[in-house]
Amino acid sequence: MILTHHDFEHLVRAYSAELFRFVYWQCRDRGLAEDLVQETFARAWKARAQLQGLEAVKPWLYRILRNEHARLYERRGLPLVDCELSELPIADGSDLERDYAVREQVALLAPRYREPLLMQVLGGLSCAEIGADMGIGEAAVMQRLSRARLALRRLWLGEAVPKRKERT
Amino acid sequence: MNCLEFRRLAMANPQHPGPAALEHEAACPDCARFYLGLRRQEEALYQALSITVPDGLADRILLLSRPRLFDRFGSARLWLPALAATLVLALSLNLMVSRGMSPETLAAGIIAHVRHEPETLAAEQQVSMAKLVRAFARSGGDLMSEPAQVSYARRCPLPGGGHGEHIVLKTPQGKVTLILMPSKPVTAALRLFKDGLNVSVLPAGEGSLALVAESDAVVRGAEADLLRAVRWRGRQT
Repeated sequence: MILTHHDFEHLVRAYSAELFRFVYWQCRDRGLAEDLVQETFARAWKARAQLQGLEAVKPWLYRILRNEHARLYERRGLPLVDCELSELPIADGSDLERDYAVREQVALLAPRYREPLLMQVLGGLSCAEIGADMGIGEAAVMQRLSRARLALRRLWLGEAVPKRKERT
Repeated sequence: MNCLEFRRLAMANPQHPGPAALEHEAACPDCARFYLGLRRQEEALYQALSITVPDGLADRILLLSRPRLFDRFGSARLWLPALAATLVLALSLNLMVSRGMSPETLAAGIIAHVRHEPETLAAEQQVSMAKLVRAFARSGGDLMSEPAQVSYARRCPLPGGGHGEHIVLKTPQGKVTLILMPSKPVTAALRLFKDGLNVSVLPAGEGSLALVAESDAVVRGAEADLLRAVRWRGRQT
């Protein structure tokens, strides 16, 4: 399909916010997250001929953004470490203590679990779409999502948190 | 399906565990309690992750993209007026960057919500006009006339957090679920068919509404009835 300028504007307006949130929770830097989203759309426009129909656009944008994010670490050699929890931004909601606790729980997840969780919760991507983007099978995605939620649930219910964090 | 299988599917995708899982959940009180807790956890998770997006993010992306888009014209004199017009339009429509979940995710969440509460469609409540007027008023709408006979009306939690009004309209063509979502703005109408249900999400006042039914014709009929019966404050439906 041919992506028109008009289509592109719609894509930017429809998906820039959720892409920003997704990558923010990966890099924890608002400025960097904005740069990555901008670069994602610039690359999407350049590569518009590769788009296989508008129904595939969201996973496609996520794939570009994930690649941009990964490329950043390659370029800068930044370590894949979980963030400091200070100075996290305020959510739209009103229960700030709960929001803080939930973010703390999400930060404790290893990237391989956190990433599919963010793609599903923020982007609404299906397990198959996440699997295609991450290059793993649907069953593996389901397993990672289950484990991520199980870990969050333990913390949610006040159970002991495992001290050792799993790494990618 | 057994409880273990249900929990495996629910943990992997709480919004869409699938019809077989929901059937099991409806018949198993333990799994129903588990699922309720899981959905609350999911709502809290979404709420906590929904940070504010920098003002004008989409406009800046478009601004930076414009020179690339118009590279082929070679001259700024050609693309600058178009860019300026786009920026003016974008600024005047600064509601376009929606807060919260995407319309597609919202529509899918609404379908899961309706699937999760089949008893609301079976209910035959006597709902007073006064209650209906209050429900619409809370959502930014002035009810001018009864859009159809109402067989159920109650406040309900919404996908991704917040509360709305869950109303079942009994139209001559069949029942249709109406969800009023004052805290869920959308910028354009969206139709989705999923899991055997048609959903139409429309801007309504400062938020949105969703109509859900098996038949697309019933949804479209209810849309027309609502247009006649409700006057929305703020943006129009």
